[in-house]
Amino acid sequence: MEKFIEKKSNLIWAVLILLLMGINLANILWNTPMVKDQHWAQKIFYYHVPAAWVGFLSYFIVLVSGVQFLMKKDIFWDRMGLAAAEIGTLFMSIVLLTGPIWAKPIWGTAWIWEPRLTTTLVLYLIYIGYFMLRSFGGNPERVRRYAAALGIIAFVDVPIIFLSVKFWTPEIQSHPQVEMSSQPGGILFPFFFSMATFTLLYVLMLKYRIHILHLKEKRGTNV
Amino acid sequence: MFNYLEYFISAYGIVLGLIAAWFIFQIKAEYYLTAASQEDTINKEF
Repeated sequence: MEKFIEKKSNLIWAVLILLLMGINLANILWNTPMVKDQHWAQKIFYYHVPAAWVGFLSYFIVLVSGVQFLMKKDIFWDRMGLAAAEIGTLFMSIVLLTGPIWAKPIWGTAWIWEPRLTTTLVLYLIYIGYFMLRSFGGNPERVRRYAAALGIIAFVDVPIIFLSVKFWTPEIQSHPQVEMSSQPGGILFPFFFSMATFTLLYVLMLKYRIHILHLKEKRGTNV
Repeated sequence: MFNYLEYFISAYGIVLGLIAAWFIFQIKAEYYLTAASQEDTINKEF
C-alpha cells in the first residue's frame, strides 16, 4: 500500500498547509493590531479560538460517525469516529494549554472555575473516558458500539460550552464575550484566515489518521 | 516574570510542538506498518 504522502493530491495539500501556516504566522505577527492592555497576549486568540473551533468540529464528526456506525454497522464510520476523537482531543489540549497562558498575564491567574472553562474541561475528561473505553473495553464489536454511543452523548456538552456564557449568571462569568461582527477588519481578516488554515490542516490530519487506522486494521497491530 | 511576548511565544510553541509531534508519530506508525506489510509480501514470495 502506498504511503499517504506519495499520493499527489495529499502532497499538494500538505505543501499548501505548510505555506498557509507560514502566512498565518506572519499575519498574526505583523498584520494584526496591538490591543491596548493585552499587547502580545491578545494575539494568542488567533490560534486559541481556531483550535477550539476545530476541536468542536471534530467532536461533531464523532457524533455523525457514531450515528452512521450504529445505523449502518460499517467499520469505516468507526474508524472515522476514532480518528476525529483523537484529533479533536489534540486540539482541545491546545485550547486548554493556550487559554491559561493567556489568562496568567491578563487575569493574574491561569485558571478560574468559571462556566466556560469548567464545561470545556468536563468535555475533555469525557473524551479521556472515551479513550479508556476504547483501550480497555474488551470485546471489539461491543467497544465500537459503546464508543459510538459515548461520542453521541459527549457532544451534548458542546452546545452547553457555547451557551455557558449566557446561561449562568454574569457574576460568575470571567470568559471574554467578544462580538466578532463589531471587530475592525484588521482583526477580522487574520482571524478568519487563521480559522480557514486550521480547518484545512484538520482535514489533512483526519485523512492521514484514517489512512493509518486502515493500515493498522489490515495488519491487526496496535502501533 | 514573563512579558507578554514571551507568553505569546510559549503558547505558539505549544501549538506547533503538539501538531509536529502528532505528525512525527503518524509518520513513524506508517513507516512501521508499511515496512511490516512489505516484509509479509517478501515472506509470501519466498
